[in-house]
Amino acid sequence: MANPLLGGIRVLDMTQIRAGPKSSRWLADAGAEVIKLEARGRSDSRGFGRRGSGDTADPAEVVSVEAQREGNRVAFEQLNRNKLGLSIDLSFPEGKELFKRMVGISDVVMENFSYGVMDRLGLGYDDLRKYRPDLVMMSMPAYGSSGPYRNYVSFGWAQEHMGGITSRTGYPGGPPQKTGSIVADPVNGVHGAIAVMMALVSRAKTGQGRFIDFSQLESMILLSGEAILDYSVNGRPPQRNGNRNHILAPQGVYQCAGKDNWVCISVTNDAEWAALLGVLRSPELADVSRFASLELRLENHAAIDDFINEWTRHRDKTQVMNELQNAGVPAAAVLDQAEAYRNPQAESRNFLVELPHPDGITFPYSRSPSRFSKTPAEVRTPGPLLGEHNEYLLGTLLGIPNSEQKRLESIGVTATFSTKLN
Amino acid sequence: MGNTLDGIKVLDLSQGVAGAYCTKLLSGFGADVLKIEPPKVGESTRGLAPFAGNKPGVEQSLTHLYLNTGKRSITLDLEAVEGRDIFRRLAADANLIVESSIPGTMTKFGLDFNRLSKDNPGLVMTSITFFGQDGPYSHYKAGEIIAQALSGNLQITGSPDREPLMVGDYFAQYVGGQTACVSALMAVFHSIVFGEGQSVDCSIIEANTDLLDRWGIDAVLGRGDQPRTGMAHHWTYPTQLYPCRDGYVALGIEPAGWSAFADMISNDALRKPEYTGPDRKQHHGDIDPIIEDWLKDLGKLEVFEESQKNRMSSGILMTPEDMLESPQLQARRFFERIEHPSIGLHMYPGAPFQISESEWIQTRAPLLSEHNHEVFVGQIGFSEVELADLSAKGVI
Repeated sequence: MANPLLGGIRVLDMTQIRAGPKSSRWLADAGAEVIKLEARGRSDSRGFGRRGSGDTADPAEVVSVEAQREGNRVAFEQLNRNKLGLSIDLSFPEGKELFKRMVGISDVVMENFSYGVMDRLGLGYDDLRKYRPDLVMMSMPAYGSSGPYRNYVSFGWAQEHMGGITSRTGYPGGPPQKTGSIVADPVNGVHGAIAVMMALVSRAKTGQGRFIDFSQLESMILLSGEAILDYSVNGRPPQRNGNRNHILAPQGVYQCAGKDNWVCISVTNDAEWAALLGVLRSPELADVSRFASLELRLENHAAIDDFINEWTRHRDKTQVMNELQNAGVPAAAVLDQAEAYRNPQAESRNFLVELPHPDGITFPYSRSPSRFSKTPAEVRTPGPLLGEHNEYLLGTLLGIPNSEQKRLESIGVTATFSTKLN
Repeated sequence: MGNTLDGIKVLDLSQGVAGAYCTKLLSGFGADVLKIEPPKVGESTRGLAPFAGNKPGVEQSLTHLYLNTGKRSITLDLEAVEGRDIFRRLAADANLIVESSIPGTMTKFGLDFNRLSKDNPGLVMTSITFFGQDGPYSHYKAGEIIAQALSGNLQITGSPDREPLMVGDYFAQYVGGQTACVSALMAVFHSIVFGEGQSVDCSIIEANTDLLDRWGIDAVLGRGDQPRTGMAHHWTYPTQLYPCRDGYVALGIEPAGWSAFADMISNDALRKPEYTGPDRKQHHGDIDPIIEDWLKDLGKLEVFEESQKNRMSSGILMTPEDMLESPQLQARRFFERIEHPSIGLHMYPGAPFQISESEWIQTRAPLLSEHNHEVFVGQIGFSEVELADLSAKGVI
């Protein structure tokens, strides 16, 4: 069989919630053996979404084994498919020893505990390197592993605002708005995967391991570089321009038939404006003295918006998109979340796939947004149950006899999804 | 001390934010990135706002100056047969080509992966487009707002009482660039270890749909669409942006929790039993005025420090000014001073993450065609006469 994209790479993944699991999901999709480490009573966010409302994500949240097996594991499944499940309780000395043995046969360790947790457990990079001299380890606390904020707590919610992207997201003259999908965690997750891949490329060439000090704040700021230069070079603070763009006009989001249905249009040059006029057939908009150039269209943008809205508001958003695109006008139906996964383009590229889960439910999963011509990154297995692969990992890989595995489980060092909680 | 990506040769044919961001990250960690630009006009990020002094010009775009740090620039016309021949010579010992042309263009030029990899079996070619290389929309026109619309992100951003709202500036294209970068690195890794190159098809729109990971699939399963919720988290409360004296606080009360929050702001009205449970959001009409009253005279940094002292995960909305003055970012020497002939000495964001025993090196963005002589004469071996001839013919 052909070698997978990341064939031969084993990752010990201690990350929780969203940013870290997103990082390791990239590696798992690419065929690395990613081992999700959890412990009894400290499993990762399997209950998210199930409760529907309530207190925000506490990483120490205790979700019963029964609750893990029922109901909505959708978020967990998206972020943890293709991973193996290992449970070791690091509060036991024997748990730490098992963990160190796992490190000895792994290439990468990833964690997003608060700063200092791994060192206090005696499992910091310098400790772990004794068991694996060429280890790549990434620590991703919110604010990085140094500086006055290093012990500060944060979740993805705060990071999208700290990182600056929302200071440029808002209606003109209005306050900043949060992003729909609370983007800091997934953005930082991809940067985290980039970091690990850089270290692995380097290790493949030199044989040397690396420690990655990942600050979620700094990672997020990288997406605002031009706004920082705009401030320092031009003295201009961040602007909130709604859906407008001062070199594209008209650009906006227009109402379509039905409830909360919209289409966006973005005219980038005079030829596209002419094409738009050809579709709208509005004698008023054909007035060259008001609309013929970008400058004029920017000046009379509100009037253009009124005419476009009048034309779109009784029409179907998908038909508007297709009609305008076929005429050469950049336009798009504003898709809701389900439509984003299921539209002719996404379906043609099989963006959504389904897998049967051992729990008897069939889950949908979105595939990797990148297609590799020779080593596909596919969704192969559902997210692991707690300790689902203990026997393979501890028995087959580490050679721990079955009787010893049973003893470890009986005293609580390990657990599986079928272990009774006290 | 070796740099992380020492010896990795990248040819960057891409136009726009996504490709430029992808190769900026590679360059910062030591890859040799050669930017191949159309003669005279240059690559399209040079035309993107904002501009130094608000004056457009090929060396004036701050977006270009930020996104193209560390790269070298040559000009080459791939419409010309000679241009394509030169490109093939460069491609023969490249590890990675990044391109963003309309699907089919590289094949039309005879520069597609199958042709180029004949001379270079380990080559990786990453294509970044809005829709990907195939599918019924792949010939549609796209741009930033269109990517946000079709990826499902636009519909859920903004106020419930208004039209959907785009996230600022070039956000979706940055996300596409990140995705291209991790994918390219994976394929390069595979090539180094197994000797096999390949082509990678990255869709900016799919990369942005992937941001919906946690809640999007709920909608697919028919469990309800996520509403637009403006400044508030769509699920937890009071996880919300609130105005304060000098800006905005991104309130977050976990992990300490509600009673610790009531203690911190010393308001007994918050101690009602119905506020302590998960249904507290129903009472936001009563609670919001208390929070707003508490915040109106406080500075954002005061609230941030006080929250952190009480183990609450609040943040603030940081402006560029706040970032440049941040004690955390200063202690970590995050910003870097870089001089460029058209804008002078300014602070640029530094590394996205720090890798031990390697440096992030960021030099200024190249002037258009700045490295023509170095590459065409020094590297490929053209004579000065041939170089002048290529220039006169408009090939470079």
